Amino acid sequence: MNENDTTNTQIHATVAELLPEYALGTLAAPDEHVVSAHLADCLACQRELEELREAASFLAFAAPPATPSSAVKSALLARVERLAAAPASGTPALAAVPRSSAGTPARPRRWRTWRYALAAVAAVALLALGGWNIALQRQLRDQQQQAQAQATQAADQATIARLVANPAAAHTVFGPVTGQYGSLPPAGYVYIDPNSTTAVMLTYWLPHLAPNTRYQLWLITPGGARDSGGLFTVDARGNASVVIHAPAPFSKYNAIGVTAEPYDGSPQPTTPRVLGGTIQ
Amino acid sequence: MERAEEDEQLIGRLATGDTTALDPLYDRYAGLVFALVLRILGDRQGAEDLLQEVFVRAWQRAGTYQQTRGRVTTWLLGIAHNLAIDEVRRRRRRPQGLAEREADDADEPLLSLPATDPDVADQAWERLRRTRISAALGQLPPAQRAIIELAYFEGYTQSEIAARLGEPLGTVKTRTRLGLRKLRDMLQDQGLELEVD
Repeated sequence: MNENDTTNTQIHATVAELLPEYALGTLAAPDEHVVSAHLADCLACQRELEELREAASFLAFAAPPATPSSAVKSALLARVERLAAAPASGTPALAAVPRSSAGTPARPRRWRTWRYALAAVAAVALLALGGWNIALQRQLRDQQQQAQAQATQAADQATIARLVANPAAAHTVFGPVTGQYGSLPPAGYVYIDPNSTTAVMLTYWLPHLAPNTRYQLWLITPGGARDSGGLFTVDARGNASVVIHAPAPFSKYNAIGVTAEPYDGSPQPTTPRVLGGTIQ
Repeated sequence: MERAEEDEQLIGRLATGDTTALDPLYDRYAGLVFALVLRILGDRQGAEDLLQEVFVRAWQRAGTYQQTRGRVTTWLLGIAHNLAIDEVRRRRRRPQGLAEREADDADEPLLSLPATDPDVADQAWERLRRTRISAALGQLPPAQRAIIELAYFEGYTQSEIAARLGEPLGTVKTRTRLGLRKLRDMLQDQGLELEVD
């Protein structure tokens, strides 16, 4: 090993040690330059950095959830449109742009807590009414009678809007520890109004279905009787959003279960439960 | 189509000057980016200004996005994190005046409702993933976790953290390394994907 190799090996070892700090963006200037320079031609460090950056990015999910006001988006789109239309900037440029305070529409200010709470409730209702529209329309395409379907859709939307606006309606359900993601068990939320026959279930990480099978949802009475709550499939991740139409008000049931069944369903469960939990 | 592919197509469209791609990109990531910058800055006004800035930068830098260097989520959060940390450090050097702070707290009319997320299912998914990531963080030794959070959310350098905690710099550096690598391993073991639905 010649002198250059030895130096490079030492630099590599030093940089490798500094990568976590670099990924967190907290490395001070001299070290940062060393790392940047080495990264340019070290594939191993680039890969390591990518993984560490991804891990650091996960921390963003640990921040308390928050929703920006809708004014931000309209101001952003207006600003970009303006910038894109400006002479000599037909393509995006790396040039510095003015801070957003310049020339943007009136900006929302910090709200009093109660106002925020009020707005949040309104937003949840809007979100529910608007957001489910697409999913429901997709389901409805499969149905022959559009008029009847639209009536059902409207009723579902109203119920969904009411349910998801009420955190007390949510019940968490889990599966045994064999999801499609190894150690992650399938999981879900069920939104229920005991007096209604309609509920909403959002599920995650259910195992992939075998051909010609669908998941069947079971509504379980305290006596152990099981009524079918409908059939559904999952996407590639094992996720699904399901509107449940129960044969009786949900007050009759105290638990739900999900099993994989033949495509058209079974009168009673025929396979082990993949998801379940109490709903009272 | 996988989310990651869709994301990359959006960035590709932005890079060719198609600004209409910004709308769906914003819808997908604004909540996550806003939560992060709000956590770092601590005030809604500043966080909303910065949120706008992040997406302007994303548009301007779309041409520099390299698929091989990580996901769009990481890239976008990286832009947001850098801007927010720069801002919080700037503020620390030049603390906000009391009068300005009071003006921020003044009772202002409700100008707009919070933006609505396009999908309820996505929100619940998001909530569940937050729970799991918090759980993973909770498994880190408290000393490692505290240092990582001070670095990531507060923007302190290793020396500043060492001074604040009264720990030797070497210890802080070691804990940062161990903590972040352990977090990476746990998240990889769990199969959690850094994607926004």
